[in-house]
Amino acid sequence: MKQLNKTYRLLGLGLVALMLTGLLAACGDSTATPAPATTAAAATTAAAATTAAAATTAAATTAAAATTSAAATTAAAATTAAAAATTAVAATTAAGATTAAAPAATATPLPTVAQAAGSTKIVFWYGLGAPLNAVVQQVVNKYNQSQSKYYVEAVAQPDYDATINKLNTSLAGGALPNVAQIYDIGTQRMIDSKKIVSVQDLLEKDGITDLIPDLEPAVARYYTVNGKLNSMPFNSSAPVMYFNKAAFKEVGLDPEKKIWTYDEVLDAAKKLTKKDANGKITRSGVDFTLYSWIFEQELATQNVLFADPNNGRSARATKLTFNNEAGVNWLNFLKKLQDDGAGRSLGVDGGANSSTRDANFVNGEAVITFNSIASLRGYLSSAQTAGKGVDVGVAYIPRPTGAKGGVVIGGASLWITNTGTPAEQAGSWDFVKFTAQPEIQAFWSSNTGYYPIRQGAYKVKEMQDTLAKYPQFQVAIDQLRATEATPATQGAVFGTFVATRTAIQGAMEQFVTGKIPTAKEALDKAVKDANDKLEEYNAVNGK
Amino acid sequence: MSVQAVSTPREMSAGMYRTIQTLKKIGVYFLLIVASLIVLFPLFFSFSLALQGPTVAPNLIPDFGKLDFKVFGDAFNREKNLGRWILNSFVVAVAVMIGQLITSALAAYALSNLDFPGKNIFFLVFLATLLIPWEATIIPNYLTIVGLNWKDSYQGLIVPFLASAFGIFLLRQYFMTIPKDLYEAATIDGCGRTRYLWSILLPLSRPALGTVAVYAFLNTYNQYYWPLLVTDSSEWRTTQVGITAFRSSEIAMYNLQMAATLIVLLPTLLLLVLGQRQLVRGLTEGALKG
Repeated sequence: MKQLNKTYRLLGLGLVALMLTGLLAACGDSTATPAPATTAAAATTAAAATTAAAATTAAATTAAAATTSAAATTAAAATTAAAAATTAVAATTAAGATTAAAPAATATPLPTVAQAAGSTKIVFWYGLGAPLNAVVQQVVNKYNQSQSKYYVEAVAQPDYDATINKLNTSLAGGALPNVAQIYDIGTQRMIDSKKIVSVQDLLEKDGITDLIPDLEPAVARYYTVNGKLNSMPFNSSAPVMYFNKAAFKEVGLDPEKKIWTYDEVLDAAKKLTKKDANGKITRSGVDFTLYSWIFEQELATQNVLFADPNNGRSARATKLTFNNEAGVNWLNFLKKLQDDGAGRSLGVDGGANSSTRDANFVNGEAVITFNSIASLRGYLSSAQTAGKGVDVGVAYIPRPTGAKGGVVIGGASLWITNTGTPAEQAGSWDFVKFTAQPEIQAFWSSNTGYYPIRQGAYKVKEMQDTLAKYPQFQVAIDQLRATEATPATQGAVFGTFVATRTAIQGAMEQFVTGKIPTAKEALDKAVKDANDKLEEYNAVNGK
Repeated sequence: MSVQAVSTPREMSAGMYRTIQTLKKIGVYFLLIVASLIVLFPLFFSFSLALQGPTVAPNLIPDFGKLDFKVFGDAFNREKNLGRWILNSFVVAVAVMIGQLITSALAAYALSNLDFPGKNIFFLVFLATLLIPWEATIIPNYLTIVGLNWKDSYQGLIVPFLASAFGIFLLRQYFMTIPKDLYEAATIDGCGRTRYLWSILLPLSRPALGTVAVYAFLNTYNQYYWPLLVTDSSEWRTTQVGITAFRSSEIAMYNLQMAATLIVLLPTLLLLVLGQRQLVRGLTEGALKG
C-alpha cells in the first residue's frame, strides 16, 4: 500500500513538473531559456522511470490497455498506438518543415474582438473542433472588424451532432441562436423545424440572386431542396481515394492515373500487398473502414438514387432504396478485397478504427484508403513526421466499369433562424453573406482544406498559392467538377440520416465479417430498419 | 505480516524458511508491479500521445529526443477558459454533493425515524421518481431554467440536482439498520431529535454518507448534456463540455486533446493522492464502529 502510494505521489509530482515545463516553454517563447530546459530533462527522466516499464507489458496486453484507457477519455486511440507500436521510432525531417505542412492554425490562440457599443449581438453556433475552431473565430473576427453595426458572438459546440441536438431541445424554449452551422445530413431536420429563413428568399429580397451561379455548382445543388437554396454552404468536402505514390511506382502502377475501376483497384491492391513468411499481411493494398458516407458516394458514382422519390429533392423522401445493385456492388468489392487478401477491413468507421486506418496509411502499412479531402493536410504532415517515405497521392473514388456519376459533397452550411428580432435577422444575413465572399472563402479554404464554396475564390491569390502548395487538392476539385448534375449526385435529404448511417454500417459489418452471406440480404435488412424510422419521422414531421 | 507470528515447522530449517518468505515477497511485489503497470497504462498512454506533436500516427513509445512539452502551454493558449472550466466543475460538483447530503439525510431521517401519516406513501413517491427516465425531465427542467433566467450561471448547473431519490433511499435503508435503542437511550439522557441526528445518527452513518457523497460528486462531475444545454458562453462551461474543443475535426490528432485531458485530470488526481488516506480511514472507521 505504501509502495503504491509512493508511486502515485511520484507520478503526481511528475505530472506537475511536466505541465509546468510546458507552461514555461510556451510562455518563454524562445526555446533557449535554460531554466525550462533543465526542468524538462528532470521531468523526462521521472516520466521515463515509470513509463518505460509500463510499455513492455502494454504491448503484451493490448486488450487490457484498451479497456483501461477509457479513463483517459479517448479509449479510441488505444488500438491505434498498439498497432503503431510495432513500428520503429521515426527518423524524421526537420521540425520546421513539419509545422509548415500542418494546418496553419495549429497553435493559434482564439482571441475575440470586443463588442462595439450600440451594436446588435448575433449569436452564432458552430460545431468544429481543433484546429478549425480557431479559423472559424478568425472569420468571425474579420466580420466584427469590418463593420460596427452588428457583433457576432461565436459559440463553439462540441460537434455537429451536439449542435443540432441542442438546437432541437432549444426549439421548445425558444432560445435559438441567430445563425447555426449544421451538418449536411441535418438539412431536412432544419427545414422541418420551421424556424428558419431560407437563404433563397433573402437573396431574392436583396436582388442578388446572381450570387448563386458563382457558388460551386455541386455545393449549391446539395443545399437546394424543392428548387430553393435553404442555407448558405460554409464548409464542404468530398471523399477521394488516397494512395502512396512511392508504392505505386515501386510495383509499376501509374501514380498519375485519376480514374480507377473496382477491378483495377483490386488488381493494383494484389500487386501492392506484401506478406511475410506466415502469410500475414505486412503491407496491405487497401485499408478501409466501413463508412456509410463512402457507401452513399458509391451510389452517386453509379448514378443511383438513395431515397425515393428523387432523393427527396422534389418532394419529401418516403422510402429509402439503397438496397439496390449499386450498393451491392460496393459491398461485394470491399468483401472481395478482403477475401483475396489484398485489403483489410478495419471495422465500422469512427474512433479507433479510423485512427488505425490513418496511422497505417501514413506509416506506409496500407497503400490505398478512402477518406475526405479535408484530411489531406493531416495526412501530408503526419506522413512527413512518420518519415516512412509515404508520398501522398489523390485520385477519384473508385467506380465499377462504365459508371458515370460523381460525388456528393459533405460538410456543413449556415442556417438563419427566424426567432430573432428584425435587427438580429438582418445582422445574421449580413454575416452569412460575409462568410460567402470569395476572399473569405479563399481564406477559409486555405486554412482548413475544405473546398471554397465560391468559384470566385479561385481568382484570389491566397487560394492560388494554396493550390500550388497542395497540388493533390486540384484532383478533388476536378472530381467535383466532373460530377454530372442528377438527383443521384445531388445527395439524399431526409430526416433520419443519422440512424440510417448506423443501419448501413451495421449491415456492412455483418456482411464483411461473414455473419450475413450476401450483400443484398444485409442491405435489405438495413433498409427495412431505416424505413421504419423514416416512416415514424415523417408521420410526426411530415404534415 | 510479521515473521514471529507464523510458527516455523520443525522439519524446516530457518534458512529455507527465510528463502520461501523472500520468494513469497518477490511474488507479491511482482504481482503488485504488474497490477500497477496496468492501472498506470492509461496515464502513460495519454502522456505518450500528448507529447508526440500533431500526427495521426503516434507511436506507443514516443521518441524521447523529440518530446513536445509545449503542448500543455498550447492547451491553455488555445482555450483561455480551461482553468475556469476546472473551477466550474469543482464548484458545481461540490455544491451538488453537499446539497444532496443535506437533503438526503434530512429526508431519510424523517422516513426512517419519525412516525407520521402517509410516510410510506411519501417514500414510494420518492422511489417512483427513480423510474422516470432522465430524458423525460430534461425539457421541462430546461424550460424552468430558461424561465428563471438561469442560463450561464451556477444556479442553473446546481439547483436541478440538489435532491436525489437514490441518496434518500440509500440513507433511509442505512438509518433503519441503526437500532432504535440508541434513540431511546439518547432521549432518556435528554437528547432531542435534531441533536440525535447530528451527534449520533450521522457520525454512525459515515460509510453510507461517503457513498452518497462520492456518487453525487462523480455523477455531477461527469455530466455532459445538461451543462451543454444550459451554458452558452465559454466561461460557464464545465470541463466535460469544454474539453471537446480540443477534439479535432476531420482527422484525429490526439496531442492537444490528451494534453488537455491530463490537465483536467490533475486536480482530481491530486485530491485522490492527498485525500486517499482520509477517505479510506473515514470509510473503514465508520464500518467498524457501526
